[in-house]
Amino acid sequence: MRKFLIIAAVSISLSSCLKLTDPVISDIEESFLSGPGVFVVNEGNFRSGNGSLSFYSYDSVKLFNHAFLSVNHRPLGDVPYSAEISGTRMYIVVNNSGKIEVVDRDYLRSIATINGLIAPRYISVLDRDKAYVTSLYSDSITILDLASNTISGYIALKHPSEAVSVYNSKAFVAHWAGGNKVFVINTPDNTVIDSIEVGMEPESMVFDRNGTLWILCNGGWQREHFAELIAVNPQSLEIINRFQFPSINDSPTCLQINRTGETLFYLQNGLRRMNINESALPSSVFIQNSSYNFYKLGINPANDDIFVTDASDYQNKGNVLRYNSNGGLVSLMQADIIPGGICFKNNPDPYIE
Amino acid sequence: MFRNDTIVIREVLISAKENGHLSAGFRSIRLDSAVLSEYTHRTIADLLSKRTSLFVKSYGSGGIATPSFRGTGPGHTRIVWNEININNPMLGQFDLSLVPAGFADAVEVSYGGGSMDISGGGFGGIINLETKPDWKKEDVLFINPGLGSFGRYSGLVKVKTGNSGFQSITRGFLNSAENNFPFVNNLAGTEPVIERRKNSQVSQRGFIQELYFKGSEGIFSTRFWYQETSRNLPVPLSMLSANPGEKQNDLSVRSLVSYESLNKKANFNITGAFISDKLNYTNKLVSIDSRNSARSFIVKTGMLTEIGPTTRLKISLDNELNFINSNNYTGKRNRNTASLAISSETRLTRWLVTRLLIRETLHDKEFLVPDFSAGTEIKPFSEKDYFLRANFSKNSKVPTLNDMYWSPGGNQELKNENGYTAEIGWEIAVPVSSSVNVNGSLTAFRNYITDMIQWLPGDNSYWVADNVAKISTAGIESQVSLVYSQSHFKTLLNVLYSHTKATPERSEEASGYSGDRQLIYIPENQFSSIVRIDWKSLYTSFGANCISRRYLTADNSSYLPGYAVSDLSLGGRINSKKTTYELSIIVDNLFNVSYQNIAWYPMPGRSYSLSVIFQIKS
Repeated sequence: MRKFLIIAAVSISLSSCLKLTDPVISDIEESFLSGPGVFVVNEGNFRSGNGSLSFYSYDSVKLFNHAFLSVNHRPLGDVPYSAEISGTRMYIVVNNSGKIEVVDRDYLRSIATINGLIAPRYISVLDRDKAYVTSLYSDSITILDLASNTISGYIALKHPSEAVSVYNSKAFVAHWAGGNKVFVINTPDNTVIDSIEVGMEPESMVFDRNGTLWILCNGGWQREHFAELIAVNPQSLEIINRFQFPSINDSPTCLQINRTGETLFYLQNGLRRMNINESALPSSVFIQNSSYNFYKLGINPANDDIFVTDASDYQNKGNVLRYNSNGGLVSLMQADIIPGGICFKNNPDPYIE
Repeated sequence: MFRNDTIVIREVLISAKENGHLSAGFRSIRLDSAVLSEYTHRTIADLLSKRTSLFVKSYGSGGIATPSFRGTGPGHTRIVWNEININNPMLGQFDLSLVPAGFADAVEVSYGGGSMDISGGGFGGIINLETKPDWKKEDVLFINPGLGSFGRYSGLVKVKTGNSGFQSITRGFLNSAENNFPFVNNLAGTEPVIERRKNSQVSQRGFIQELYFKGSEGIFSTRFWYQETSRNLPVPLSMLSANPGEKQNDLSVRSLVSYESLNKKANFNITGAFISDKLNYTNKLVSIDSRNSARSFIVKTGMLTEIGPTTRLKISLDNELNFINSNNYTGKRNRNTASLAISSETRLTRWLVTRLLIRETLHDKEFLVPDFSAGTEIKPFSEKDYFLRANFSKNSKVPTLNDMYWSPGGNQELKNENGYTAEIGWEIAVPVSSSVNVNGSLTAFRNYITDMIQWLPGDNSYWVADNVAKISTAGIESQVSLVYSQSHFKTLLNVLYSHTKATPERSEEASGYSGDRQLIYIPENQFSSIVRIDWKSLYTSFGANCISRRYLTADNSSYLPGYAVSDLSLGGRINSKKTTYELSIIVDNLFNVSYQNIAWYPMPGRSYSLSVIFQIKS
């Protein structure tokens, strides 16, 4: 009987000896955020709430992971997808959490959280007070009041939206998921004034040095359409040039442009580049993806450094690869799970190299 | 039949049991009606997580709960109702939160290869929910209303009538809960805030009607089970601001018609079953309206006969035909799986029993590589209940229909998964004195699964099912029970501990697992204990359940910390010749521990429930 009571007491005491709260990230590092660098949003796994923010510092030549968590002592959210810096603030779009985190760009301290967004994908800051947010599922563009960090209105697009690029007083919004149009919004009065029929699933857009809008259409996931690269005059909205990718299985993504606005870059079985005056798509790869799973791309507007993320197997930690403008690998750094969107933080004064 | 004084959870050695299983040398646990009676207004998930070494992965109160044995996945666990497979053929798994414990008369848990004698088994094991007649000539009315914290109301009714030749048993239940419990939200802003869970309501109802006819030659029975569950699915904390308004409705109809001969020399049985499962999921935010209907026709027949004084032979022939209608498939799909199993159990000497099983499966038009199991059991001392057992088995699992046909990502080229299991164990049952009984067991196991199916990102922006992983799980399970009984005083202590190491067998880049790391959501250590004290008609029990860290990522860089939660119950009953009244109060999560079973899904803190039982016999 005595032994029985001892075992009972031990079992009871064991029941109250453990505590827990929330998921723990085991490798939190101190962040180093001053100076120029590159933010990388790590998407994490869908519905797992393990998205994070990494920062590559040019000063220390290191990548600091879990930067948002380190500063704000809370996780970033579920599938952070993109980020944009405007003035002293950075806006981090957290897709599956339906929110935008507003932080100080130099210290990452949280300023506000804008909730109530439906599957946001990209933000485009128009001026100090206004921004547009696109949505994967909503049929409207959300208008933000950046002075109060609140939702101030909606633009009925009647379609989901993806990439957004602004040229003078026009915003060009791509209807990516299942669509084939780029909508044109007059930004002063937030009205849809026109649309351009392009290829299937316009995914990313850039403006070149001549003001031409380049639109990369990846053809759709069902591979029933050829991917296309299309050049549009943003004034007349006419298609100037149209390049069809040779194989139905070509699915290019992440159109970017260099500092001078002369050379286009995109991912397709590696990194490819193309001068805006070329008459054909590049047949060869500029940077081989080797064993990496190239996922997102960014060209630093300050120095033409090329940053590519490697999503690895989408379950383990991925990498960030930094190349110089000639395609030489400068550094390879381990980021978090599914490193994706890239946002450059450059000081007002040039700091090249 | 609904309640008696025995509450011992004893691991039983099933070597020649009345249930017709040949399981010598394999581990099996039986939770009888006495144990189940403590959980009548709770779910089978609650029962198994507190009373067995199974790990039940739960999305919270009323949320989806799936079991896993010995580091294997929910798809490697088969749930059967009176030995008929009720796993959803689309998902290949079963949600244990849908079934109240009061809907079963007994639950048998068979581990590893021991499950292969029952409806094909699973790599991890099988959970058999039994409903069965009690051939007493009596009428019984059992009513069990209950209420609890966070807007929970439940009711269970059971009516039994009949005699030695006919039995009718009717069970019905209702359950609803708001599940609006408070929790600490660390993601809401810079400071943690206390919020209440939203969109977590659940509403369930169902009934089972059983009819049994017993003649001189055999028993004819029909069973019908209707069940409907409607629930809102709360989002993880990381998605609170998104609030997609997810809902899931489950509707199941299960019917069995059985005949079992009572010939002592050769017992023959046949069961025909029709199972219909509808699972509809909606998500307003992303405009998903997923409608899924699975219908299964199952015929199961078997014969158990004695060959000489020492050998029993069992032949089983099963056929399962599935029809699927889903707006997530391209067109309607069906498939047929037939299997023939032959097993024998031989007592070679007074102290040595062996069992062999071999099974051939015809999957649509393809014959699969045969599966087998072999076990042996040794009782070294005739006067003492000491047992040693060892077994080895090879089993296979065909891909689920979602693995093959879900659009996009289903892969019709998938191979079967193969599982190899080895187990060795020791078991004792010792009467220490006239008032103290002890029993215990210690089991070591190892599983090796090849061609495991996982969904991974494909080349075209959607996930694809593929045979990519090889995993290995190994560990130990132990259990000790002590019962002290004297006069009006009775005390039980039951302690369970298991250690499981589940790792990828080798570095598989595509699988997402690499190195010697624990698989996600598999705790290495589990401990649970129950102390119950009965004095006359009063009782109290205290239970503790400890789960160690569970990793969230394949590289083990993040994890959910371990937790320990406890529950306390107090109750009393008044018995008369024909009636029983019982009142019990249960406090769950006694120490108000904040914990998560799945990342970002908070579990309820301390909660209270009240249960009243009224039973009358005539």
